This record gives sequence, structure tokens and C-alpha cells, in this order.
Amino acid sequence: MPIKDVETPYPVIDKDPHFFRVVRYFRPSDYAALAAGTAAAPAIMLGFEKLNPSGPAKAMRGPLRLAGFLGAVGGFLIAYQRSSLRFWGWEENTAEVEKDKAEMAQRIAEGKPLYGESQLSPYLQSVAAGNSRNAQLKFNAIPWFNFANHDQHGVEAAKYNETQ
Amino acid sequence: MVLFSVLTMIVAIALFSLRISAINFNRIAIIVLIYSGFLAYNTIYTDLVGSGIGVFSGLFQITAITQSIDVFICLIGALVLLLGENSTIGTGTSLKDGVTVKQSSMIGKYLPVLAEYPLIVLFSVLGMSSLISSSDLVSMFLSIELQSFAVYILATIYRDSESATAAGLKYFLLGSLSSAFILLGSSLIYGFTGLTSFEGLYMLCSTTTSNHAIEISVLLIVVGLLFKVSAAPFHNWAPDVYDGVPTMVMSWLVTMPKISLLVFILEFQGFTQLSNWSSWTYLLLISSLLSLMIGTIGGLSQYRIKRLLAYSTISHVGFLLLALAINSEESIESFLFYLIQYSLTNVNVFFILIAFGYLLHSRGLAPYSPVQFINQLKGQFQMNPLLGISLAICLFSMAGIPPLVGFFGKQMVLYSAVHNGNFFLALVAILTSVVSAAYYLRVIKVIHFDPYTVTDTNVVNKETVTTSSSLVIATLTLLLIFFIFNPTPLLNSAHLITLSLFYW
Repeated sequence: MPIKDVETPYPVIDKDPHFFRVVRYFRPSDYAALAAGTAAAPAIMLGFEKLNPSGPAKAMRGPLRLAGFLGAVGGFLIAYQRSSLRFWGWEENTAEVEKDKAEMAQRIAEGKPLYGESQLSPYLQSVAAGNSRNAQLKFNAIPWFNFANHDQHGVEAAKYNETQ
Repeated sequence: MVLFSVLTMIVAIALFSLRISAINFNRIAIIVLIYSGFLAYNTIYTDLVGSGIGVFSGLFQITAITQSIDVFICLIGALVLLLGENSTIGTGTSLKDGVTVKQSSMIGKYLPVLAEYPLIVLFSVLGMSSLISSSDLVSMFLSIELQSFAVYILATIYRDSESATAAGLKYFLLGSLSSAFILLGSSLIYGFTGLTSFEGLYMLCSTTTSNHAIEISVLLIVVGLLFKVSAAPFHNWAPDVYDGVPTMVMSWLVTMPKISLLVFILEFQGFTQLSNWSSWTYLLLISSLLSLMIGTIGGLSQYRIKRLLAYSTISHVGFLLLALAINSEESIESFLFYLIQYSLTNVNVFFILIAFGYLLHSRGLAPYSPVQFINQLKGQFQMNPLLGISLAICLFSMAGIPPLVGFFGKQMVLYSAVHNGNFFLALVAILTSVVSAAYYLRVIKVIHFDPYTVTDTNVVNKETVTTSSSLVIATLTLLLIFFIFNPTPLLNSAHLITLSLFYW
């Protein structure tokens, strides 16, 4: 499948960042989104209960825990999506660009591969990349993350050598 | 989000259904849909997404339309699930002489929400969201089936009801027939081309001369889809099924699957424009003409409210198909606008009908609840003036009476039809719209002007409509009325989405 070349308003850092990289690049505002998402779900549950009482207050413990759990998942997905949009260059990403340069420069200095080592064949790496690329756009239905160290990140590795 | 929530809820229902009541599962599903809608909203980048971005190895695609409609589906889904809040009536506590007592008089007398209901609804939403994004024959068929199986189960979820079980079986059998058409069309396309991805098919059709084999295959698929949206002449199942299932379930069956299926047809038909297949346009136009006529004439003789609404739906599908068949910038804009306003109006009608049912029940008129016959609403204006007026406004809007939002929907569709030279269909649409106003007016007459004949009522509970229902009814009704004062946000959104379809 040909990869669509999107003209982004900000520089592209990585078109299919690894899960842990996305999480490491969370900004405080992303953590705030996560916290807000976690808190909002039980709050909405309590709001419902206040509007239309359904039973004794102690019966709400279980539902509140479940709502809190799903709220945390929702909040995490929102934070992950926001961080990914910065990786793609769809949102303002000055801080991330600097962080990426520093991280990659260090990796080059240490002689490590830029995107980690992988035991997958090139074909399987392309399959993994095809499955996870842009998946954040469909997070509302299917959460899908990149856990593979593939080699298809949509940026020229040479640019990191130039910054050395 | 929806997939993860489905998996979580399966485990939670299995393990904790004794500790978590069904109504709370329903509320959690509403919250999940709100989060899901926000996640979709967060990625509406019309300029960057452009003509579309493939995801999951090209099995699905993301466009401005898919993201916007995802948000809409989640919003409407959450609204429909709010109907479940009605089962809290009488289960709360109240203060009596300083002591908290449970209002138990009404418990168990209403249709309860089942814990599985929101779970199946989430399955259905997952299918809808996947369907509007699908860009491959395999993902298309699997999405349609995921959505369809969920609604078959929803139709029969209240197994104690004989009519619901019969309706569900009929829905399943006829739905399977339509799925078979879609599968046949898909397999023929694969047989003729060796391709399953829409991208590949578009490229093939744009470079070759007309290919009747592919054309027939695509028509078979669209026949299956028309079957599922209950467009005439494939509509026969709809009145029976919708009438048989509980009103709460009907509100889901009537509103939700149509949104995703019609939006899928909209995206799929870009394909047919490449080869200038006139048969596609004629099929949609004929189906539109028949839907308008059958939906209108059939509705005139109905005395059961849900059958009347089923015929009303068929008539509105006629308008939507007319806009789809024209396929110009104006018509697609009118299609999106019509779909949005009709879905919201429809949801409001169901909220009001269910509220009437509960109020009649609380007056000791249990046989009148849920409302089955139009005559059961006799003189309800005297009992519940606000509900009566709200229903009248919704029905006026459906009939296309200005200045309500429904009028603008019909006007936009008719304008695009006339602009495109479809004078005959525009004339039929106007005439059927006038005739269909007759059956809407009949309901309004029964509610407002017929005498309230029941005298031996015994008020068993002073419960009114739930707060959430009142809130939804009030908001949606005011939206229908005051749309005219600030139409820009909705019209501009529809316009931008349409432009993204045509100019990228």
C-alpha cells in the first residue's frame, strides 16, 4: 500500500512512533488530559446518579471503579493521540523536535540503531508498520499501538548525522 | 476506545453483574461513547486528512466525513442510550417524615434495561464506526455484519416478548438475505478483478472502459445496502420489525444503522462516478421515488404509532436517497444536513413517546403503556401540555413546516433536485411531503383536540419524566425551533465536509 505523503504545518519527527516513545514524550498537558479523563468518568456517573437516583449510595462503588478505569483508558488514549499528533507534525512540536534531536544524537554516539533493534524480517516490519501507521486516527473505535521496532518512520535518518 | 470498552464490559458483566446494576452499565456505555466521540473529534483535520488516509494496512480509511460522522454516531448513540435512564423511575429514595424510604411502588413495572443492552449497543457502534471507514470489500462486509448481528440481538434482547422475538427472527432472516446480496456482489467483484481494496477498484475503473460485470456486482451490493436501510421496494420487513420490538430498542434500530449505511453509500458512490454508471443513479432514483410514495401512502392507513413512524422513516429515506442520487456538492450538503436533523428529530420523538408511556402508566393506565395505538394518546395535551407541544413540533418538523429545521432539510434536497433537472422527482417529493403531513397532523389532532375519555384512572405514583429525558426533550425541541436563528454552525460544517469530499 503506498504511503500518503501529508504536507504538515510542523516538522515530522516520526510517522509511526513506538508506543514507549510516544509515552516518554508526553507533555504535562497530556498528563493533565489523562487525569481529567480519569476523573471525568466517575464525575459523570455521579452526575447521572444525582439526576436520576438508581439505588443506595453504597451500590455506586463498583460502577464508579469501572467508570474510573474506563475513564483512565479514555484519558490515556486522548493523551497518546495528542502526543502522536505532535510526532506527525500536525500540532506544534518545537520541544519534541529538540528532544528527538538530542535523543537520536545520543543513540548515534552510542552506536545504537535509531529505532531500536528488531528480530523481525524486513517484510514483517513493513506489515507491522502498515498496521500501526496512523492508527491513532481511529482510536475512537480500535486502539492500536506500535510495539514493533520497525524501520519505517517516514524521516531521513541522515538528518540526524547532519546535526552531529 | 469502543473495542476496549466492549472487552472490559464483557468481563465486568460476567464478574460483577451482581454488584453493578444494569442501569450503571448503561451509564458507563454513555460515558464510553462521549469519550469515543471526543477521540474522533480530536482528529478532524480537514486540510491534512484531505482525500483520506489509509489505516490498518489500507483496510480502513480516514476522511473528514468518517471523523465527523463518528462524532455524530457517538453523540446520537449516547442520546439513545439515555432512554435507559427511564428505568430508574421509582427506584430512587425519597424523604418521608424525615426517614429515607425507597419508592418501590413502580419497581419492576417498567421495561428494565438489561446489562447486555449497552454491551450490544457498543458492538453495534463498533460496526458502524468501522463501516463508514471501511475501504476494502472484506472490512466492509465484516463491519456490516458486526453492525447487523448486534441489531438482530438487540431486537430480540427482551426474550419474554413474543412480538419482539418474532420481529427479531424476521429481521435476522431478511437481514441475512440482504447480507447474501452484498456477499454475492463482493465475491463477483473479486472474481472479475482479483481485487478487494476500494483503492485498487477505483484505479481499475478509472482506467478501463465500462465494465458491465463490475457494474452489476456493485449494483448487487447496493441492493443489499438499500435492503438494510429499508428503502422501497426492499422495505417490507421494516414496519413489522419496528412495530414488534420495544420502543426503546426501536429508537436504536430506526436511527443508528441508517446513519452508517447511508454514509457508507455516500463514500462508496465516488467509485461509480469514475465510470459514469447511469444504472447506479437510476437505481437510487427509482428507490427514492418508491420510498417517497410507499412511505407516504402506507403511512396514511396506520393506526399503530410505531408502524406509522416506520413508514415515515421509509419516506425520509426517499429524501435521503434523492440527495444521494443527484451527487452534486449541493445535494451532498443537503444529504448530510437532512441526515443530521432527521436523526435528532427522530430521537426526540422516541423520547417523547416513551415519556408518554411512563406518564400513562403512572396514572394507572398500564394497558396504555407502552403507547401502541395513536388513539391511546387521545387528549394527552390536557394531561401533559409540554410533551404534547414538543411532539407536535417534532412532527411539524418531520412534515417540513417552516420555520422548523425539517423544512430546511427538505428545501435543500428539493433545491438540489430542481437545480439538477430532476423536476419530476422534486414534484413527487413535494406532493408526498404534503400528503405525509396528513398523518403527522392526525397524530397532532388526536393529542391536542380529541377529548380525554378515560375517567377511571388511579394515580399510582406522582413520578414525572426523568430529569435526563426532560433535558433531552427540551434541548432537542428548542434546537428544532431555534435553528433558524443560528443555522451557520451546522450548515457550514455540512458545507465543509462536502467540499472535502469533492475537492480533495
